[in-house]
Amino acid sequence: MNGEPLTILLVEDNPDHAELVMRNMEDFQVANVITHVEEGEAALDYLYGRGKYADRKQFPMPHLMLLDLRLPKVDGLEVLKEVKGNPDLKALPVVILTTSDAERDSAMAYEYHANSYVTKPVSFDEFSKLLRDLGFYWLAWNKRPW
Amino acid sequence: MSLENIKTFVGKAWRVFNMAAFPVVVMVVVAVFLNYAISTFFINAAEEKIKNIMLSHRGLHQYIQKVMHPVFFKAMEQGKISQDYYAPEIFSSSFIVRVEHSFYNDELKKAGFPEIYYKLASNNPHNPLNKADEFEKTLILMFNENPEVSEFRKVVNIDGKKYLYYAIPFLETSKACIRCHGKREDAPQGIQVRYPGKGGFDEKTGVYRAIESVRVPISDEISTAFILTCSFSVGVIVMFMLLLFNRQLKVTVDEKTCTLEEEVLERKKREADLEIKNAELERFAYTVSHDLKSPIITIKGFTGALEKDLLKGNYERMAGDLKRVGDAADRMNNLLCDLLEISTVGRVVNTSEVVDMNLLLNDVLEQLAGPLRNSDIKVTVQPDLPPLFCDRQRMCEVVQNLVENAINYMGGQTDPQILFGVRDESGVNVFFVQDNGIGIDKKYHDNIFGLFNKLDAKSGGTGIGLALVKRIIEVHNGQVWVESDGVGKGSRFCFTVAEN
Repeated sequence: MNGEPLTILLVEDNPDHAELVMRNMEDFQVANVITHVEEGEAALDYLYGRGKYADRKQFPMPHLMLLDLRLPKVDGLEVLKEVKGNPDLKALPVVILTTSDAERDSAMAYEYHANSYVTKPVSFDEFSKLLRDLGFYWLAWNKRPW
Repeated sequence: MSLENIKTFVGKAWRVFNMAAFPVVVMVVVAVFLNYAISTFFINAAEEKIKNIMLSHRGLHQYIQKVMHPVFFKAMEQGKISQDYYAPEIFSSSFIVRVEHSFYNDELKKAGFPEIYYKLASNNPHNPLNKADEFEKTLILMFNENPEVSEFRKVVNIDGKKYLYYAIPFLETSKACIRCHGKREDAPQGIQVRYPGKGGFDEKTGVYRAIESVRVPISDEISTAFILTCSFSVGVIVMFMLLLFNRQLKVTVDEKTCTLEEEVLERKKREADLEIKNAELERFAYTVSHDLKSPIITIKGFTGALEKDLLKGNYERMAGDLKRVGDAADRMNNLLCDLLEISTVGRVVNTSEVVDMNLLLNDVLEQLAGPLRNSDIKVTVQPDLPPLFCDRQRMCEVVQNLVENAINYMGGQTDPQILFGVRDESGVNVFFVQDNGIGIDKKYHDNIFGLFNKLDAKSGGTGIGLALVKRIIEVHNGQVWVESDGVGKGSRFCFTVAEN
């Protein structure tokens, strides 16, 4: 862990869901920093270090992206496509965290090389457990690309 | 058969008659001409035959008169033959030719050919056999009165059979003729004895005293001409009718093909429509499952968090979390209401009527007076809006949703304005709600009409307004779209309604 802060970029348009994710993540203290953006465009701006996210010190490259699919304007699949199509970004682990369990969505997500696809559990306990496991797996067990 | 069918049939028959009338007239003219031409051909052939016979007979007459008679007379003068000797069998050219012709007829009969009538007809013959009948008498008179006429021909009917009758004047009476046909007392003794009557004497030179008349049967030829003409005509008529039939068949086939093609097109269109509807339905189900599930996750999530906080005695954020739960439940309720509403648009159809859009705008703006006043928005309505044939209640919802949309997306505009107007686009009235709000990037012009699609997550409403507008306009067979030059440039939502 080299003392380097572990960063998660949470892309979620529903403020309640974002709050739930962040609260659970904080509870388990898997990540040092969670940045939440509500729109796909903002996520891309962050990853490319554009506009208000230009300062890499304040907004470092995330080690994991939690991406919702249904977003206003630029939707999750487009963000995923952009990330996985970019040589500098494609190593970033992208976990699709969405309400939808539609087969079409998961198929499309894997088509665009999502690293993982999970549906938000309705049960609060399962929701907590999922986020804890996700955090541990991707940030601790998994060898990070950077 | 209904009246309509009868009318169609009569119309068709009339067209066919019109189509047929001209060719039939042409056909009749051609047939008559053809019959005439073929008959003439046969008659000419018959005439040639007759002329041949006559010339041959005339040759014999010539031989008798120019060769035999001088020999006889010389023999008489020399006393080798008695002066009063006369035998028509070896002396009279008319007798010899008549008998020779009867032998000729016998031969014809034997050979299976029809007999040919031949007569040297005279007004004043020695032999009553050669006496002209009434018709022949008129011909003799005619030839004498009209020396320039050299022949007479006519198709005659005798006992129901057709003949070509042909006559030429006999040799003009010459001095040589007078020897036997002059005064009775001057004629050879034999003739005087043989022909005791006055007939054949007292002729003068320089006149035609007889005609040669010949009749050949042409019934068969005329029949042949008629049969040929009939065959030809029938052939042409059959061909023409086949052509007509073929044409009619082609028209029918073309019509059927056209209908089939139209049906195929129609079916393809219906299939395409169905496909669009299916895709829409799939999207709808997906949206509904996603958007209804979302508040459930919030409710369950925060009730779980509340439970945990309650156990820990951590009361700080409980009020906020409870509010989140309540809001999520409200949102779900709103979504369900909206869903119910949008699903009724297609099913519950009020009757369309001619709606005065000026009055409709008044009503809508009155209802929205509160929010408009709160946002300090200036609304302008183009005067004298044309009427629109539509479902009034639904049209109210369309206009209301579009104006509400304009209010919601005014952004930080300091001089907010909304204009309701109409413009003519190739004869179609395009109504529009124009604002000077935040505007919309071109790439979102389509998906803003999707169910629960919102460009701004924080904006008011569930995201059903434009979807509802689209649904209502679709039910009216119209179109709805947005025009905007981009972010910050305002938007213009336009819609049309199909006439009737």
